[in-house]
Amino acid sequence: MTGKPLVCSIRNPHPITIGDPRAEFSSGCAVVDVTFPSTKSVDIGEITFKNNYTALLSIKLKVREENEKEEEEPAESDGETTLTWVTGLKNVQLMPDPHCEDRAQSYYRIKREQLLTPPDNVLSVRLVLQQPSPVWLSFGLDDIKFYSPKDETSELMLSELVNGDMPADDEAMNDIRKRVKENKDIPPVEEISTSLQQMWALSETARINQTEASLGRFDVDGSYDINLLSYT
Amino acid sequence: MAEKRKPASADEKMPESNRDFLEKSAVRSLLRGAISKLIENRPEDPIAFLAEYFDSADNKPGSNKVAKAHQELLLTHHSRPAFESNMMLAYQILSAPKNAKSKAGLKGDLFTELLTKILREVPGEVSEVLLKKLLCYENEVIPYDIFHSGVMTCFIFLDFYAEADGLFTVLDTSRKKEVDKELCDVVLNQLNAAMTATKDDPKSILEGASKLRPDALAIALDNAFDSVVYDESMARDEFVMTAVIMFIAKVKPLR
Repeated sequence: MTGKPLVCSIRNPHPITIGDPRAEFSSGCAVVDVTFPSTKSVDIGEITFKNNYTALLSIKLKVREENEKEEEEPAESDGETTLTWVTGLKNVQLMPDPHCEDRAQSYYRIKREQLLTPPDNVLSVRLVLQQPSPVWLSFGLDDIKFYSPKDETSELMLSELVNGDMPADDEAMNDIRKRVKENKDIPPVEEISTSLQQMWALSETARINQTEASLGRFDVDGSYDINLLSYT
Repeated sequence: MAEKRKPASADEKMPESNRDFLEKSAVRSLLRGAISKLIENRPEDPIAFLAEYFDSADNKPGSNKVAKAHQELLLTHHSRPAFESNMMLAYQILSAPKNAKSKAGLKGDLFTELLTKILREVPGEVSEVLLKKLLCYENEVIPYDIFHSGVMTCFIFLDFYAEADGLFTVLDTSRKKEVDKELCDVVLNQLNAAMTATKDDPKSILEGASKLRPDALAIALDNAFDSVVYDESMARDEFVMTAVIMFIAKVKPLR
């Protein structure tokens, strides 16, 4: 399980050319730029994509260094000092043999643990694709998706909520009940709980059944805005 | 000859006797309506249901619209699917035009009357708080959405009130008609925490529910009794009122 998918804009693969861009020349190398639109940097938990005849993949990450926090506003102009490019992956083989079809269209999933540096505070990602074989006319990656790291604490909490009443709880409860019995005449906790749950469920039903429709009143707390009245 | 004529004259006196009789007195449609209502609503006590049905059918022409609508709403419990169609019928009854000249539509005055009628079982000071939130002005036209949510809230409120009342009886183990204030506070706080925690996202519902589990409750009670004990108590009215106010806080005011 992973976290939520991250919103990002992914450019089309841009082939690297040498010399005259109009000249027919295949360098066997292309670059995909990925930017995250939010002003805040993101943490990446996982990258998934479908290969499309790419043989080798490198990942470069533009990360914000945390130790210098002086400049916040002009992130581009002189913020370069705090922004550094790090290598996430270097020449990972996606196709065992670049000339053969094998795994040319497989799905890949790269976890953050597999990256050379932890992908935290990432501003943009550059995927460097290489295809040394001249057999294939074009190459790229499809369905590129980035996911945030999963929220460990909330996962735990949720599973606890669903199947929480384990023997350990029962023991603790018996203990409590014993102690409570000693000094007070406490009504049965189960009965109170049933009753409370019923009440809570009723309040939920009431909440669900409420309408969004409006009667078209203009008054605020029983009074009218003088400006509204003057126009009528 | 005389022998032959007799059966003929008997035929003239009551042609298709049984069926015609039922048709004539409109009993047929009444019975059919009763049976279909019975099947639709599937009450727990069918005989009592029928008795009530015929009782209300009896005073048809004279009774006012609000009483009829209220009767219609009482046919089944609000959690049953048939309640929706009953609600629609009630709305139709109420919004029917008074006479040929006037227009159809439900106005605030009848709506107010209906809600007050629904809530007449609970004490005035309790129902007043809720009504303050739900009531409309006399001249306002009530669309079905508002009608539905108002009526539904009232019926759920009745159940909530009964449940809160029952809870106090459970808490009152010593039958002194009052319960240790601290105990009440813990229970009510726990309920309030669960009720305010719930929002639209499903996880918060799980979280809310987990607050009311017996073990969570026991821990809360234990913590409370560990601390200093005040020698105060809470009466039934106060307890129920506090619970009711929590419920009403979740009711959206009309706009």
